Amino acid sequence: MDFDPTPYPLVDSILMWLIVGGAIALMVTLITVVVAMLTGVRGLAPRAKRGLSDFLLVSPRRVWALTMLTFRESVRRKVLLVFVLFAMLFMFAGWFLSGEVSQQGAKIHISFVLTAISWIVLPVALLLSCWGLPEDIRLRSLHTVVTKPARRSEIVLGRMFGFAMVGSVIVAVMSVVGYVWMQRQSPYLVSGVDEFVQDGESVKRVQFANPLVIPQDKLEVKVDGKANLVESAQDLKSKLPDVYRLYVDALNQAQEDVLACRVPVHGALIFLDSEGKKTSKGLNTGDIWEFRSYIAGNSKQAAIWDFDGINQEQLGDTLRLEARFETFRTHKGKIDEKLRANFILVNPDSGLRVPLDSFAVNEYHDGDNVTEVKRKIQYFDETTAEEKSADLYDELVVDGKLRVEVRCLDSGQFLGMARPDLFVRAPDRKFASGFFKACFCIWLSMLVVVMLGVTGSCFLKGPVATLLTLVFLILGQGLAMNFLEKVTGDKWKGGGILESSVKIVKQHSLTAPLEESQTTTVIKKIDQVGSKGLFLLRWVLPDFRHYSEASTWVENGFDVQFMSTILACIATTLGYFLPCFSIGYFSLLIRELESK
Amino acid sequence: MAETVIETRNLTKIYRDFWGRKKVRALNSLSLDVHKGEVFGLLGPNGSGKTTTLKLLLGLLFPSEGSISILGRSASDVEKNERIGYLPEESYLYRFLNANETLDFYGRLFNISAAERRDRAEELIKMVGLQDARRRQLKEYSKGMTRRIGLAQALINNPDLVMLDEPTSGLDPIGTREMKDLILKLKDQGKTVVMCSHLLADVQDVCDRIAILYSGELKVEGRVDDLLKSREQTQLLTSTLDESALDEIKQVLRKHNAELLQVDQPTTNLEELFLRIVHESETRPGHRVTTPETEPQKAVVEAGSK
Amino acid sequence: MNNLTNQQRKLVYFGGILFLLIPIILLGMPGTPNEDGTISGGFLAEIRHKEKLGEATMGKVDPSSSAMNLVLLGFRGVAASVQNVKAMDYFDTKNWGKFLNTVDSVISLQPHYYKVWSFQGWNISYNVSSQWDGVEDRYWWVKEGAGFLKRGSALNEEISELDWFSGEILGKKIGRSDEAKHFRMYFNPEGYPNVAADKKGDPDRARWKGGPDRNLNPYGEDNYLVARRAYQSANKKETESEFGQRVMTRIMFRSMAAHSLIGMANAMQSEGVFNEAIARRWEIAHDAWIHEFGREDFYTYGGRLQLDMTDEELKSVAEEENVTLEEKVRQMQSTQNMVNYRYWKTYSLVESLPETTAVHQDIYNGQELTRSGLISPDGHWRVTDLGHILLQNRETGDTAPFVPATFGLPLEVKAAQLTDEGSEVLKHLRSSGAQHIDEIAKALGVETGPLKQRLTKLGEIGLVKEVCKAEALIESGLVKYEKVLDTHADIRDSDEAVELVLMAYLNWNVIVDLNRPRTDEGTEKQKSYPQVRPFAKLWRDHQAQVPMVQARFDRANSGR
Repeated sequence: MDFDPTPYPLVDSILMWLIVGGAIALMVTLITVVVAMLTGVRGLAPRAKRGLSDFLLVSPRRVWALTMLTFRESVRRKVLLVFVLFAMLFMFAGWFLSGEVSQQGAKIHISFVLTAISWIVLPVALLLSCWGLPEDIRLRSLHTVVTKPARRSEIVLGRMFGFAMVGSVIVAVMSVVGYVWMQRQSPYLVSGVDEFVQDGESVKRVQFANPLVIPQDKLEVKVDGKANLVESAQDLKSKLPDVYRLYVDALNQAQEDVLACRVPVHGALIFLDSEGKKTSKGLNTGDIWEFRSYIAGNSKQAAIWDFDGINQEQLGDTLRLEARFETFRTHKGKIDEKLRANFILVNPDSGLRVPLDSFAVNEYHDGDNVTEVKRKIQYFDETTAEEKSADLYDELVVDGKLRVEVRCLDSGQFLGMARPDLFVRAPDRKFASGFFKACFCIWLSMLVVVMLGVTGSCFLKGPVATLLTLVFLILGQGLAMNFLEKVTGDKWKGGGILESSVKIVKQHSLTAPLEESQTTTVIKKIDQVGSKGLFLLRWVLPDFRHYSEASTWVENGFDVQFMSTILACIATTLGYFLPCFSIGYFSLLIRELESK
Repeated sequence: MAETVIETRNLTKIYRDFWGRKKVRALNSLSLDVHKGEVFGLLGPNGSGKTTTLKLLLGLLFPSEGSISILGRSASDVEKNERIGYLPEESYLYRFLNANETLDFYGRLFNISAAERRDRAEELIKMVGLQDARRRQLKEYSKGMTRRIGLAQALINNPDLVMLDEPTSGLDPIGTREMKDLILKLKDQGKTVVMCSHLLADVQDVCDRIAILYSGELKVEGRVDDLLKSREQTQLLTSTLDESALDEIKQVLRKHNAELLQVDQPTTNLEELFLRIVHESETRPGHRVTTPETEPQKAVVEAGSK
Repeated sequence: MNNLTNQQRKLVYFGGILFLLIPIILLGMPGTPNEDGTISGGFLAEIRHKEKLGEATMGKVDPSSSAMNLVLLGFRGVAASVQNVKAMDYFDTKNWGKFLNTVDSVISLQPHYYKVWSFQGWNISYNVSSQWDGVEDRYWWVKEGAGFLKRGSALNEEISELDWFSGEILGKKIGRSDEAKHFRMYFNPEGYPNVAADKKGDPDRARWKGGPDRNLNPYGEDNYLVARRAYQSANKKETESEFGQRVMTRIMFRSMAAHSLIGMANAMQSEGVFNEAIARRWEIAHDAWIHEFGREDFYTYGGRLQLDMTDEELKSVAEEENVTLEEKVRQMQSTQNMVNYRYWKTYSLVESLPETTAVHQDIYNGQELTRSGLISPDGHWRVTDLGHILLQNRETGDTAPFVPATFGLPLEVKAAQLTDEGSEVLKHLRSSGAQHIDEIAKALGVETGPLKQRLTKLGEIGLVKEVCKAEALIESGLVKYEKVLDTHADIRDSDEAVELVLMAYLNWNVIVDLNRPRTDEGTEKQKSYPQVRPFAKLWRDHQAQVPMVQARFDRANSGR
């Protein structure tokens, strides 16, 4: 997982929404008034006034009628044939996906399904919503509607809801089909079974050959050392029912491991430098990707996580700490041994330190680095050199807060971590939970596309509206948004648009400032305006990164987090409703439908 | 004085291009009134501004100058549409819906109860004679059928004001007759009907008052009878007259300084003949239809002053 | 048909479409490359592959990649470039699954752009594998790179470069990397009969059940032999295709096939194989070097020559080409220098002699004994001082006196194997906490020397005897080597010889340090080593190289 899930700043976002929305509303009003005065269109003012009052008087009955009309139109236009495309994709997916049964296997399948859904539903929603109204106007069927007591606002809403309904049906069906398909596709990787089974009074030791891969091969089952060859799962069921139960459990467990849905509780991270003082970042070992920073082994350096929300009812008696650390060796050390680290649980108030046993760091093996901390911990106190015990919830956790220190034990080696790399693993949820949350986020992104499309189609013709919405869609993706964020951020060096162009043409260094002169001042002033424009653009564009973040969660085997991702998606989608609706309504209102 | 349902004052429409320059002056200072309960006809050649006027009245276009008042409200007021029905020239309806769904949809847009909507839809479908085709999508309808369903949706809300754009154009004689009967029925129900057309004969048959437009300007407005009446002549419709009666009449006329201009047997119009033949073909198929020679003769005497 | 309703007609059409899908699939299914380079897919795809008419480009393109639409619109090249950039992005953000997938998609979009194959093959085997910590994971990625090149070679049969890089990975990466010992055991478990089963054989036990990866190593051979076969195939393609190779100078390119046999012999020797097998391997290497590589025709700027030509042969060639003999000899020498031909010829010959094997054996055993003697059986403790029996924890660096308890469980188990004397000593050690073995000896009323010998039975302190034996072995090895180098003076100053001597010396010095009696804690006494030792002059002359060799020595010692 390559991003740091920070909780969505809801209040800041609302504030920004109000500011940007207000700015745009002001701009639009000014422009409209100026244009109206210039072209001498009379009656604009009373119309606009009436428009404001009509804005809020919306009849649900009429909106529903228009929604159903839109839905029927799309269905009868055979839009649902898109399911055929979907079905074909899945039938032939096997040809496209690497057949490797590997640790990364499920990730590819999940990624495929979610991307397929997204890539099918978004173009459909785009095309439908961008062409619906313009076609209506072109065929003049809208005129008949307009001569009925249907307000423009109801028309816009009806269209939006109708297309949203079509999109919802598509997303719903595809997500269910995708889910079922994935359950069947996931490879079973069972890492052998070696357990003791109760057989009446006696206890048998059962071993399966390691490992089982898709249970069609003959199974060799060792019971107390004696080997039995079993033809199939059915055979096993009839001959050794106890063993069969073990077998089924192992399969289910394997599937859960492959289609995992972990629920992480993240904490706050700070580092200790080599003198033991607190810093915000660790060392950089030369990685071009600065996501993780490192601590040195066998030194005072450590990484400290402060967790909140650790309570016994939710997490149970055993605390599971899962790590995704990276390692960096300055010397090979023992090549076939992994680096060792250990956790120290600290009571944030009393400072009680409980070191846990060291563990080996299994780099990049996601899901393999889980440390289980039982409620009663036996540990060796270094200061008094004696064995002690501590209770997790009574002595270490204070008001749900817990501090975990991580140290690397091997001298000359480094351990790398970022904030989301250590988390408390709350009880896993079912894979369906994460998957359908991701589908929910896809649904939300579809709503944004529909809203943008309908709005655009209110004042543009079909093809142009399509282009506009497509541009919004593309610019909202990660690549462009990351760039915009950098350009409108504080750390951007090299000046604005005009200044950069001048530097490029004159072949100056991009980070050196232009020499002082009248022209430079003018250029800088113009650029200030330009950067405000870019700033506005950045906030007007829908941030589709949030929606793809949801898929990233599920692909990496996590449940989609509410506070960071789902809230962001919901807020973004809702934030577009009012502006899109108003723009669409007003553009439709002042539009002469019959104008040739 | 009857209540004015529609009132326009100096209504002007100028089409501008994208840059704001004038392109076409479609309507020039039109001022007319439509009274409650009358059938008002808007006539003119193609391109005279009839449809433009209608669209201005409906709010599909915005006036460049002048004012409009419909049912006491302005043209862009959406609520007035509760009481208006509009039959467009081409049937601009949703082609993927069937008749039932069309009426149901448009009905929902009005403030009428579900039961009433259903009843009226039933009634209208029967009235326009589309029971057999009610489940077929509109895209499969013939022109007459689309016109009929268009009419049905125009009346779904039992409107007080009905606007018809070229109601009879493209219809066969039976359809035309039915349309005209319907218009008259609407008038009997107390509704106001505004229609524009270039088929003069149809307008003459049904309209009370007409306005004639040419190049966007109002040329003539007034009652049909008043406009069409010939001031120079008097027409008498009598039972069959023989030769001696005719001579006596001629003498009476000469005494009053009038002249006998024309003595003839009145003709029925082609429409009546056509309808009668159709009717008889339906009731007695396979027979040839008799001519009206066996019908009692009437005489038409036209007299005029010298 | 006319009497059917609309619905029925639609059903008929649909059925017809489904029916037509069958031949379409059978004929048109895109081919997916198998591991061994063949294609499995529809009929047409197989013919296409067999007759080399085209390739199945859609075989492995990930439909969830955003470049798919570019492909469908015809922008295949753009899509491949975009994917390549994305692949490097995934590499930077350590997203290995997506990285591999994206690289696969680049390949399937442009399977004939061989530079991508060779770059990514190298990238995966060298760069990605080094990012992973676990040695089994590293091996997986090295294999992945080699397999990648193999697939590329199957699809680009004219390109010799791909086979050559394959050989590099299978030969050098597996055979000479820091993890070489592990990699070689994973690659060819049958070559290590004495190693425990869980340390050898491909780590993917599910698939290979403890044997080698049969896709890369179908005959279960040493990795250098497989590499050699790859190099030979590269050589063959280089001669036969008009494309040639653009990796490096031709003569160096072609030398690798024979050179890998030298590498193999070296590797085996460093693993402690000293029986007739090793002599045989050196002979084979020598043979290949002079008869296979040495007898290849090379056309230099000055004419034709073979690296192993005698003077008479050179003379006749010179006459044919109308050049002087001196000119020809000069050409020959400079060409030979490019691949160090004469050196490797002598080296392989010398190494095949039994005297040399004896040298290596002695020094190897000496080193092994030093290492094993220095480390406690559980691997955690290192003896730094035989006098005080001071122990150093290899992980934390803390020192501790030899207290039996610090050895933990194994000691208790070992106690059962102690002699009576040993148990008594142990008891005394536990109770008295004595630190110096002299004190213990005094307490027990025996001589230190004999006590040390008796304590060898404890196992943990069997260190002393072994270490002394080690010193003797190293000395004898060096003496033998001196004799060998006297006979074959031309390899006397070679890198290999110097390295051997320096490593042996370092080992020797460690033993001397350990045996040095400690006076007090922490003072660094002037370190003095025996003045009269074989190769004393070489040691003095190459002091500048010692730090580098020291690093290698430390690495080799800490890796056990």
